[in-house]
Amino acid sequence: MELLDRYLIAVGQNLPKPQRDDIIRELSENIRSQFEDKEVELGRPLSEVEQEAILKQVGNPLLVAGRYRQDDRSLTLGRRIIGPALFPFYIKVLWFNLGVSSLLTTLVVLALSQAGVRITVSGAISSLFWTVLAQFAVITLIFAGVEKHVSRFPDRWDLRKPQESGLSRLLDHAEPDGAPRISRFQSISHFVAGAVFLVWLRVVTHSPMWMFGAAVGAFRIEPVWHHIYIPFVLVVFAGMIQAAINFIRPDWVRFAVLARAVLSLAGLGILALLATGGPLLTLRDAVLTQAQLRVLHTVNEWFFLYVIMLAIAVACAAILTLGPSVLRTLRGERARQPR
Amino acid sequence: MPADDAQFENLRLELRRGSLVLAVLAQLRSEQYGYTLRKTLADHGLEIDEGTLYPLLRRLETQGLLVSEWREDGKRSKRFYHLSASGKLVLKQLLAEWKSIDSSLNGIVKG
Repeated sequence: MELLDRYLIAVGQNLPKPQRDDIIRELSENIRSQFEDKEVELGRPLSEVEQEAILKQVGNPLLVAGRYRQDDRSLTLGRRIIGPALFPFYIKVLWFNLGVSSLLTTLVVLALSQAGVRITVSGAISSLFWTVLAQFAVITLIFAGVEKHVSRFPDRWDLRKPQESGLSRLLDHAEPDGAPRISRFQSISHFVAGAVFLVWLRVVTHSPMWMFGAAVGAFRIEPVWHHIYIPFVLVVFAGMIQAAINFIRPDWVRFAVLARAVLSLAGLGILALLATGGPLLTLRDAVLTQAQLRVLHTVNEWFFLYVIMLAIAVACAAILTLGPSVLRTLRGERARQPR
Repeated sequence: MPADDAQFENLRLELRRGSLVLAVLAQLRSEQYGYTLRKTLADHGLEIDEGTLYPLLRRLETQGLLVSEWREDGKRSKRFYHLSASGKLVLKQLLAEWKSIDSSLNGIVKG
């Protein structure tokens, strides 16, 4: 695929569907005219590097698409935190996360109160409020970081890496020798996400309300959670170390692929322990009524299903993101072997 | 870039941004497509990024100041823009405003 086609696809991915084809057609014609002019001037076809230089002048596909959207909404707190180019993505992610977590919290509260667990309105609202606030803060922080990166390095994006796609490719930085690199932005994101998760885990350990919401008074966690706590923290911490190493050495691609594959396997192992470790929750009351036992059974079934779905998601993500890299690494090794 | 240079660059861009629409409208009294328009503006000393100009043309068309049509030109078809009737009127008003600002500024700067 030509560099220009990749560029146009990258712009098109971030454009509204109704105008996408028309905008891409016009942009394509304008850039091709520019290529032709340059070829006439040089008296020969343009090299890929020369084409890339022209595309860099046109601009980061994410920002160019943002200008076409004619949507000037942004998040400003004293100064601009998230600009118009990223704002639509920010809003989508925010609404999706807030929508899902609010729905889940509401469903849990409704199911528990229906089953006779005593939950106060203020308790339900309070747990929902803190969940929403935490998600808003984390998502805003991540997007503010992306915004800062894009504004600081507007020409640091690379279209010569077919293995990466979407936002991460546009945020990546090009290396003059074309050698594969782990994006430093990606490494920072992994490190920050790991740190946020560890802080959240620590908070949940001390204040289970962050996990069980309004039902915190009713439930007690089973010992299986304590068994997986340390391995879980170690896996997240190892992921942070890998991100830190790849921040310093972005050229250690094979190390990153191997480390992520091992960590994904370890994560699956922990989820397998959780899924096979018996009931995950019990009620605080010593003597349980039939109705309470039914609730407990249902809630444990939900948690079990959640763990299984999480395991499938981790496995799929590992196969999709690491599979091509592992294959490429193996092919590269074979190609280098003497015949 | 030192802080003062960055500040100057921001102010310069701000100053140019306002005059850009005027330049584009004035240039499109005769029809052109995006790339040639950009070259013509650059030839007159007004460099403008493709990533800024092409979306601007669409915005001005959405506002009814420009009209466009796809037409064959050479080997390929291109989208040509020219001023609409209301675009001509707005250009006339903007030019009058610009002349008034220019005259006031000259007075202030010389004064």
